[in-house]
Amino acid sequence: MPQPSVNQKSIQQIFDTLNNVILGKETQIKLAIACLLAKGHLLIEDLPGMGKTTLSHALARALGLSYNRIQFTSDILPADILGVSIFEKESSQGNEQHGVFRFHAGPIFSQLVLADEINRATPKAQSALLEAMEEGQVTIEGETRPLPSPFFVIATQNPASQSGTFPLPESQLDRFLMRISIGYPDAKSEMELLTGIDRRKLAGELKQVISLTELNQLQEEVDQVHASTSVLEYLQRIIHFTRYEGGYSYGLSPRGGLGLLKAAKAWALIHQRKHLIPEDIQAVLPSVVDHRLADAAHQSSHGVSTQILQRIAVIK
Amino acid sequence: MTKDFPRSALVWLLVSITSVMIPLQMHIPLWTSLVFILVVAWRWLMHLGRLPFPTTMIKIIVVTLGISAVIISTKGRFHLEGATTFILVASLLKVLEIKTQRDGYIVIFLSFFLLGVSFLYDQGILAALYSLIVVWLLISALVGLHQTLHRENEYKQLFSAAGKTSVQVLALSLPIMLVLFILFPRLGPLWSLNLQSSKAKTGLSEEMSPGDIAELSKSDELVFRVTFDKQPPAADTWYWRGLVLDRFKIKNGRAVWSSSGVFDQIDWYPQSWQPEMQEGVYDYRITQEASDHKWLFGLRGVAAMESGIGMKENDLITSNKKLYQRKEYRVRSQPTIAIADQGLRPFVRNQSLQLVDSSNPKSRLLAQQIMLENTSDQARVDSALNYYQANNFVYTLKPIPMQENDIDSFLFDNRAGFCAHFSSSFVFMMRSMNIPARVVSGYQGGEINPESGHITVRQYDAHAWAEVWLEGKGWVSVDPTAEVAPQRIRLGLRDSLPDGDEFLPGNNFSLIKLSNFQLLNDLRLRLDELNYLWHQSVLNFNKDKQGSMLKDWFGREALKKSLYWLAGLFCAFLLLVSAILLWPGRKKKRTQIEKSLDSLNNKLSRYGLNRKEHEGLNDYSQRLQANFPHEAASIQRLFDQLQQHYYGDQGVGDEPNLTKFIKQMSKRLTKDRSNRPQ
Repeated sequence: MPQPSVNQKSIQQIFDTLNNVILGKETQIKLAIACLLAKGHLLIEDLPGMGKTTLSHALARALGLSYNRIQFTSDILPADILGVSIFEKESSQGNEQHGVFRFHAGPIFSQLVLADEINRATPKAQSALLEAMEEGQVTIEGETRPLPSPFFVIATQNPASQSGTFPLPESQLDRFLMRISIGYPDAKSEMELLTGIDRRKLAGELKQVISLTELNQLQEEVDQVHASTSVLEYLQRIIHFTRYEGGYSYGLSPRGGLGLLKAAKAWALIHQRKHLIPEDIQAVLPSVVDHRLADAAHQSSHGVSTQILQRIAVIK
Repeated sequence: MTKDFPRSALVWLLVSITSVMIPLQMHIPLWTSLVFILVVAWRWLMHLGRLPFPTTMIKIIVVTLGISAVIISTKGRFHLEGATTFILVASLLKVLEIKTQRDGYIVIFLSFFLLGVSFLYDQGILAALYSLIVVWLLISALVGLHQTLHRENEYKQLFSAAGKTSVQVLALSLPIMLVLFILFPRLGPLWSLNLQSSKAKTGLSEEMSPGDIAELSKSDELVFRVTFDKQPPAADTWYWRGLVLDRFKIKNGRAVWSSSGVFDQIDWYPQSWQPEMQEGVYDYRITQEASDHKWLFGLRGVAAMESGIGMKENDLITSNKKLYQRKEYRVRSQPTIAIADQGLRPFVRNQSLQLVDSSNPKSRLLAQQIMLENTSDQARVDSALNYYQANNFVYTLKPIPMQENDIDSFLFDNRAGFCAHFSSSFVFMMRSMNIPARVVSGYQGGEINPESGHITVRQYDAHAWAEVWLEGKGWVSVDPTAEVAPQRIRLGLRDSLPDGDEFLPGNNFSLIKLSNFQLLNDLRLRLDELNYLWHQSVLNFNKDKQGSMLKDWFGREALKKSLYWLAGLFCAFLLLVSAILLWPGRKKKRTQIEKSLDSLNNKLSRYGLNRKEHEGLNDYSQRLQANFPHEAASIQRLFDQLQQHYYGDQGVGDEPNLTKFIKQMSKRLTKDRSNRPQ
């Protein structure tokens, strides 16, 4: 067993911290962190009150990221998300005679953005966010402004009440590296939750575990995880299956394939491995693939990954 | 790439095998159903995980047992039932080793074959309808083979999905089936194996000793159906002649009648004689079931009307081939014709007078007496017939068995018997009086279907009567049975027996027996009509019928030929496509490590511990460690190395050492496992 590096120690610390806040959800936390390390964005699909906000808040605290929350409603406008320039007659400096337009940054200018109930907003507002996610910058009134780095969006949506919502189209779902759902806690965690202190409060009091530099370093290390030909062939078989053999109306996009590889690499890194193994791909597969191919498969979205997992040979 | 057999498909598979098995069970030894139950129970326990997959040793033992059982029960002879039993047992045993999807295919396709085999026994409409259900089940099983279980509790959805899909598939293929049935050329079989049934077909035999026909009366099996082109003759004249028995023998003291062979000369159509169409001449069509013999049936004054059918001088028609399959043929008859124009040729006369001198002295004496009392042959015939009536002979299907000189004991002591006794004793008396006479066997009567007008003749209509040669009149039919039991001739066997017990004894569930119930009888007649239609329009849709139909439709011969070309090209195309699809792609050469991993997999697969194709090495290692706690450390080491080999960034590891390690591990693990109680 190789000696864990400093970075890997810090990963363990992140886990310990988060597991204290969100009880009994190790896998989901691991996936969320893998998503973050792979520089992807996360979509959490779950009922209200399952700890979506707490998770994102805790994540922001533990990683020392600036955190903003946008509650999406049907009348939210792009400007509410990106920010707006407001005319100020007298500038605060007071040395200018004429008023100026001053840009007031929206909540998106933050390292970790929680976009709550993203499917409540109109497509117009949604696309403002999604563009920012893809480009890492926003263009307002002809001026391009970079977003802070790292930039990580956690969007949530509620699968149960679908009336009055604008479901995200496939093209926009594709921008989320992973989609996860948290689910109910098990009996033991529930008991702990009921007897313990308020988790939200706990999340707010969390101390920063790793520095920004360390986080950057970890993200760099993801790319350095070795993927052998054998495992890449497995990945390729999966992609090929979704496109030509599985009987879906469309398959995994190249972006989807790259995302799968990156997520798997992040997973390998979390498990303190310097090389990628098929189990890494298998572990992240449902959260990376299911939301991309749900419509293509005409069935419950959980089916696609199960089918892939059961039908693709690991070693040919 | 072998896929595992999906667990959800097993129920479909077992149900469809059961459905294939049921109709065959009536024709093959009963012990096979025991094998069936054992196999299904065993496989189910394997499914539940209570039993492991059978080892090679167990498989060898089971196969040996199965083969020996087949050989013993068929007494080593190769006939239809034996072959069926063999393939059935073989496919049942295959169920035990279903592990991959491919095994599932094999069992399902064997079942399709078995379904085809069951048509060798029964081709009726009910069997055909039943087979549709079986096809549906089998297709569902095939669909089930391709389903993936997503969640543990999804079995029910998968079942209904498979059932629905196969209904759709079948519905879509129905029009194709119809088109192929009508248009696809009927090619003769490319090869044929004369696989005969071990059970002799019930039916007339070439020898008649009293008692045989009583056996036949127990069977309600169909013999043939007759459709008259116009009004049929009166029912009491339906004597369907099948055999002329003119050789008399004594076997074990009893009279035996058989064919002599003096009439072996056959005139084939169109050389044979044919009556002109006129009053008293009947045209009719007979659809005769398979019989393993060449003889055909017809009324008196019969004539061959089709090629492949010939006529003998004794007024019988015959086929050029044995009737291993159902045959439909046209016949023309003139029952009133006097067959005398050629005179009685000497050798025929000799044969028709032949007797065994020492036998049945009392009957001989009686005949002498009748001969002296009367002057003309006609009067002698009448007088002999009168003897039966005057002495209160009784018609029964259960006569007292007679031993030595059975004709004597029938005529003087028992005076109870059926057609075989009457005709046998009558011809014996005639021959003793020097009147040429012979026994004719065949069927008498038949049931007319009031709806379609066709006549159905069954085995219990079997009958024997006599023909005597009267100077100037030729061969004249005489039925001594009619003197004693006229109702047998008029009404048929069923209505002539005093109580129901003698009719079809031991066959309590025969629908015919229940014909006293109006509704059931109607139902039976309807079914019979349906079966008749089925035979006429589907089973007998042969090359000729197809040809004439196509000609009717399209008007030209050339078109028919182009259809054949089309069919040929279509088949060639299919062959080509499948050849391309099935062409074995160049396989990747397997490395030493892969080979040794394969062998490890094979060894552990017996315990269900093989690596699933989709299972990663790490997961597999965990599973193995859980199963072999003692070896956990070395398993971990082996799989760490393997992972390094496959996925590591250090490049390919030391191959020979790794191979050796795998082989050692494989030995140790199998030893560990086989030492453990199962």
